[in-house]
Amino acid sequence: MTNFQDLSIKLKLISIQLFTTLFILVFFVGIYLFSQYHQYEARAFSRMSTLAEILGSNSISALLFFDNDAANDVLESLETQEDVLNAVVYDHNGEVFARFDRDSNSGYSFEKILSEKKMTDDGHFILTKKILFDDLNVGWITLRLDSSNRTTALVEAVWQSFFLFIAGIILAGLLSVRAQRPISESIGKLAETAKRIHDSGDYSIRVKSSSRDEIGELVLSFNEMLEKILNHEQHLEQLVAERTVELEAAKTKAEESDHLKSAFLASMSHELRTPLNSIIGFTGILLQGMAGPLSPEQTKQLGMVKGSASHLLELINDILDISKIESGRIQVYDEAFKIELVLVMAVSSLRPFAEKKGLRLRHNIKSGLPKLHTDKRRLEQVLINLINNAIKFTDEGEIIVNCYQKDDFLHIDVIDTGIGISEKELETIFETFRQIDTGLDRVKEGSGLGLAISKKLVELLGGTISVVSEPGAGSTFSIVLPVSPEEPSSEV
Amino acid sequence: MKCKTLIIEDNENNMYLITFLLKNSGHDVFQAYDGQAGVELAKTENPDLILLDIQLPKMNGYEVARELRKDKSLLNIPIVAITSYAMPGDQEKAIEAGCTGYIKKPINPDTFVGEVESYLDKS
Repeated sequence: MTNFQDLSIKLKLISIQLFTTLFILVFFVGIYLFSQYHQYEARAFSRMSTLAEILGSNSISALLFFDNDAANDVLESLETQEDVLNAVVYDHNGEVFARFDRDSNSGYSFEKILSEKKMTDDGHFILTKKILFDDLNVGWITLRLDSSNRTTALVEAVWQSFFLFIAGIILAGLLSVRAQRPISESIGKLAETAKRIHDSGDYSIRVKSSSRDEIGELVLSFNEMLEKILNHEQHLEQLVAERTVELEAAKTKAEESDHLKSAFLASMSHELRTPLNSIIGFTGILLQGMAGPLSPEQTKQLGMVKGSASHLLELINDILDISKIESGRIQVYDEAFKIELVLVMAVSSLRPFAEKKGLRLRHNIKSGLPKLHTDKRRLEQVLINLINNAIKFTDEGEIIVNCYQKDDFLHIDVIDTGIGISEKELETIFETFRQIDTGLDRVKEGSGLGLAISKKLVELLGGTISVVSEPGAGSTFSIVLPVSPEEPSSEV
Repeated sequence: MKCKTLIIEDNENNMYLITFLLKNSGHDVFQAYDGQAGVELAKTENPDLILLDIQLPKMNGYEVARELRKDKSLLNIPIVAITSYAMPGDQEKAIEAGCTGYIKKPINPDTFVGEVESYLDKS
């Protein structure tokens, strides 16, 4: 059964009114029936009293002349009063003087009563009254009245009340259905509108207010609230639109400046390379002796010019590389290749430089490595940069390049026994234009971009680069690259 | 193997450098300092190879290459772009304009002549 609380307002109002009506009806019908019951008795006694009075006064002469027959005749007149069962006239001593019994078989034996009395015996009413003649008590009269009509009358009253009761309930129901309508309908309309707004998100919908009561107030407040939400929303939309325009302008500006930056870099690179072209070209011609023989001192100095020019070119190339990576204009090729070949090539090409410093450079490559799917040239660039750095910053000992697979990743470690990197420098070592402080003059020339480029390139290839180091003991740079699992080392 | 090379280059130093290197290897050299002169010289001299700088005044290298490729008699002459442009797409643009190949600036004097000669073998 549904809880009263869960009923709709409409049903609640109807049921409240019906129950109130029901309660009132039951109460009043009860009172009505109760009074009907009691009034019946009072009316019966009052009638009996009148009858006794009439019969008594009619029996006076019979009593005075001791004429029993006359008294019996008087009592016979009760024949017409159908509910009178028995009647007795006593003389002033209380002896039975005359008697009337409706049914001769049901002779009721009366007690000898010498006082006026009203009583009920076995549901029948019994009344005893004095017979007075000029204030002289000449006898007594007792009447016994059948009360079975009383139940009939009560049942009749119950039926009447029942029909009235039903009529009352129906009337109340009809009335309450009509009466609750203004309340339940306006609340229902409010609820329905709220739901519609919730579903559609349209805050311009309004509820029509029809009354000035609390519900009317509620509707007004509801509408005001909607107005506020609508205003707020419109304000927000406007704000968003404004911000969007601003952002778009900023984006366009940023794109423009990015474009300008790229154009600037391209032209700067050209402008810088044109004089470098001459410097490197003529130095080469002179060094080759094409323009005539050189003294050893001239050869040495021209060698320095050539070295500086090459360094400058390296710088320009690095700056171009980093700007290409940062503007996302770098092309990454995806090709399958054997990592062993790239490592061996890089190590062998750099071995002469290591040996020139008296360092050992070797590799330790695990067998059965899978093929890599990535940009071979870029990976090579990173490896050469790392090994070059290791040679640059190591004065004695050796440099080892380890390569092995662990789960779905390929690890390449470049380990040196060089000067190492301090904890503070480790934090910024992969940032652009960072170079470790060697504490000496800048013998270890470089652009300071090598590691930044390496990090960005490795990330572009989907891998990671990290470093561990201890000052004075050496550094280990590690590259971790994902290996596609569907490519086992089947091909040889 | 001696051959006729046309150099189209506006920078005097570079012109001198390339001319020096090629002449030193025994090649004949014709010089043009802008695109227009280059195209005219190509038509009159009918060289074996054209070395073309990309950044030229008035008419850039791509336009020169396209202009040269319009002349049917010049169709088989290899055009080698000398490009200092290092942004992605520059080399592709040169090939698209009709160049046979490209050599990046700054040129390496040790290997330059060899590179140039390799294009002669291809034609």
